[in-house]
Amino acid sequence: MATQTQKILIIDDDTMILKAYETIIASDGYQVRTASDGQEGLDVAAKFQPDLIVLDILMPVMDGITFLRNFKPKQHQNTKVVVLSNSASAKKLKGALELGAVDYIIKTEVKPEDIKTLVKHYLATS
Amino acid sequence: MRLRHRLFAVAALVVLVAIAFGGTSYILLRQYQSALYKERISNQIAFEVLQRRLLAGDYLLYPTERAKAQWQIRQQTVEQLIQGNLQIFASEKEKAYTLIIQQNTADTRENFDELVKVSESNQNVISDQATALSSLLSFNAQSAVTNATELQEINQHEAATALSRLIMLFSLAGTIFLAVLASGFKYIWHSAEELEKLDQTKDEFVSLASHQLRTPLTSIMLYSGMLADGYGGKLKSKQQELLDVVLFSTDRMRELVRVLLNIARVEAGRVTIQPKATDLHQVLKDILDEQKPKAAEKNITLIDTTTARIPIIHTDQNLLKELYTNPISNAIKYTPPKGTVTVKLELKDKMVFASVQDTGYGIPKREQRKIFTKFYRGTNIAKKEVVGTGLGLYLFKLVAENLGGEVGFTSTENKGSKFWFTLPLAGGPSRTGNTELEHTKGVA
Repeated sequence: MATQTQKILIIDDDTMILKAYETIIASDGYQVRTASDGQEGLDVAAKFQPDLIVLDILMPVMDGITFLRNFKPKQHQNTKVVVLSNSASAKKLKGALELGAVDYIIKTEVKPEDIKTLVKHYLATS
Repeated sequence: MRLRHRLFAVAALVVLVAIAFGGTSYILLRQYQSALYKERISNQIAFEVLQRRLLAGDYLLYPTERAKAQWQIRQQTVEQLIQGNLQIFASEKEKAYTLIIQQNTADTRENFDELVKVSESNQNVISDQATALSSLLSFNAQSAVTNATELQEINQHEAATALSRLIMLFSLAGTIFLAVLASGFKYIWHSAEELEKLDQTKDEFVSLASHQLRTPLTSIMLYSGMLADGYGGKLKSKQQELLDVVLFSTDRMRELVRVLLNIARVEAGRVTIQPKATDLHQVLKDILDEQKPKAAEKNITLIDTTTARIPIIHTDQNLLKELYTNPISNAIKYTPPKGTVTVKLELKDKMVFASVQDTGYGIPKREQRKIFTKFYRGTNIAKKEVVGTGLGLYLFKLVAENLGGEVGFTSTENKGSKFWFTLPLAGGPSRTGNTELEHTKGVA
């Protein structure tokens, strides 16, 4: 079960999506922080030490792929990264997996219930 | 379209220039030819009158029969040349000189004949009469030479002018030709650049649309989903009812974006085709499972009548799923409740023949040839208000062609349709693209 100690960082440039995800995830009692680009994400992640990062791909300043290259998920055993994107480029998404993301989800396919399930799934196995 | 207009304009210009050049060069060539001919004749006349002048001198010195005969031959030649070619000297100046030469020639003959008479009767050419005649003869003969030389010069000048005009025309035509060639090349180069840009724009549209269309769509979906899940408080049943319409339409919108993007990707020829060993019959079974709930809603029976053992073929599974889902979801959509959809896989001429037969509305005969056209929807089904975009069959055909197959159908209005596609048993083509098709469920 979720506890206050489990921390989730959401990185997306779309404030409406950030707000929705934050509301949905926080409703299950997790600690949630948000960042609106990869650079801000790196800064927040360094201090916040999240258990799970939900990461968008197409973002200004620093995109999700560059974030993954800098963050190096393989060196952060305690942090899992799930990529969320509307990009149909399977190559890009597969690239994200190679860079250490554990899963990818197409944004338009995800309903609020799916987000909860996803978070629960990856935090339960950590 | 604009490229074709440009090419047409360039071609028309080239044809016009060619006609103008051809016509002008023909006229100038004819002029040059006639000037050369006149020059030749006037040269001959000048030569002959000079020879005659010299022979007259010979005769005056030694009035022999041989000298007389030689003079007479020359005289005749000069007369014939002038008489025969009088009409070719068309200009006033030429005519005037020719007539003077003709007159001189006639006078000379008269002088000579008289001189012959005198010399033959007196046996003495040194008489006064003979001296007078011979000087008259000399004068007339010399006058003919002078005038012939003048005529010769006129014609030489004319020939030179005609030649220089021809040279000018050719250099002008060469310049125009090079200019047209350069502008034509510029146009084509420019148009090719535009086409490349257009291609790039199309590519950019795919990625832009996938991001820009979907960003608001994602928010709509999330927030209406949150509303439905009670994040904004418990909904009354009427509110839930209204929200269901929003959720349903959002689903359709998502599907429509997927279809539009798939079409853009296939049309751009950028879809990756990666043939893999595929059990076609298993793919069919999976699609039937996926479509079963929709069929059940309308009480439609799905039947698989395949009897042949379908071998493993090499084809792109992603494209195949898109290809095969389309006619099945269409059949369910356009068949009234309690109908039947029958699917079958057969082997025919080194091809797998996949057919989907329904007991649906069918396609009116007069509209059947338009069926695979983008955005086409049957008038009979549009009246039934079944949702649709007219894009599915267009994509169906494109995808089949990408996999090396063909599509077709037979249909009778109010009885049903049978759509089919083929795939080569030998396997389909492969391509390294930069995008993949997204799976659609035939909701739009």
